Amino acid sequence: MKDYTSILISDYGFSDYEATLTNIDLNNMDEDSISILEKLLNGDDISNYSYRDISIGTLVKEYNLSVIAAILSINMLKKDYDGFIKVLNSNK
Amino acid sequence: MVSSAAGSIEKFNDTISDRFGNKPVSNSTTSGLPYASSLEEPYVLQRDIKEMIQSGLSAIDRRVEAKEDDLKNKGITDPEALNAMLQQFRDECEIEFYNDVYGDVSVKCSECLKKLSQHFKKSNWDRMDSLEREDALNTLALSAGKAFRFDVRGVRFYNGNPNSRGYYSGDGYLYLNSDVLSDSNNRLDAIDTVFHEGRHAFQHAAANNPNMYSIDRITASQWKNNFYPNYIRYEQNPMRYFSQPIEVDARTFAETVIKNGGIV
Repeated sequence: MKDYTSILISDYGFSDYEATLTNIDLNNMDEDSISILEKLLNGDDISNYSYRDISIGTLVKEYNLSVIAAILSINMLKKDYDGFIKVLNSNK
Repeated sequence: MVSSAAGSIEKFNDTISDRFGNKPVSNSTTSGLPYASSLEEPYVLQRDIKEMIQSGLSAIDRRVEAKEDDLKNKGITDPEALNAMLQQFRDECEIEFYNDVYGDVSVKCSECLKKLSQHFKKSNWDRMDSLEREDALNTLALSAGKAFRFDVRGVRFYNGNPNSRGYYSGDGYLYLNSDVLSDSNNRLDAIDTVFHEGRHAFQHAAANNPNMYSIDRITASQWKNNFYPNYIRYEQNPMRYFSQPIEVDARTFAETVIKNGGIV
């Protein structure tokens, strides 16, 4: 298990608690999503990575998600598209 | 959503309460319905409620004293155990008492919605202009505040991303995306957001004074901890945001109120 906690806090503005839980979620993503995360950390542009009609770029621009949350979201959309769309629309 | 996560949002400063001092200036409406804020509410003297609470709490003090004597007579003398039992007894008494005074929060909120059901029925909502909708939502929020046992100052609207539906900032106002005024398809979402954000305000209050809001200490402590330091922002992890206790509670609460509010 790779530890992303420090980088989530220092580079992506996560609180300690958010980083601890998100680190677990990142490590539990499928291989494709983990490789996208590694590309991001290497400085690559990943905004076009998508599942069905939703891309990382869309999630960042239209849903105001951080790029880390966007990667997590693509991973979740692959598992349960309709269910996770409800989660994305629950921002209240 | 709660305050810190609201992000940079352009707010409307000219809300209905700012423009009209809580009441629209004209009685004529596009829909032909009266403004929701013009419907008369029964007037309750705050002094009467305060007196009722004072005498009720005094009665609870006497019950706790009697309980202490009873427990001591039964041989419970360890101070720690005795205090824990008495605290639990006092909590139960106060929770029940405040529910008797104010009524169940969820039931009372559904009653608020029922009283305004004329305005929130789809066929009427569709005919209302944005000013009427603003007035109806503001009236609903003020009315819900009484059910929540504190003063809600009203609703305010912001121009936000369509995926951002609302937030509570801690200033007494409930913030809703302004598209609920312009798009009649957002009727249920608007009502849901009033009760969802109102519930967040309630959670804040109950976290610090659980008995007065008829919430048990375990739940209150869980909420307090969730607000700080364990709040998870939507924009950092939507799934964890969705699953945290205060969000689950606010969603369930709003769904229940609407289900029992007679407008669907």
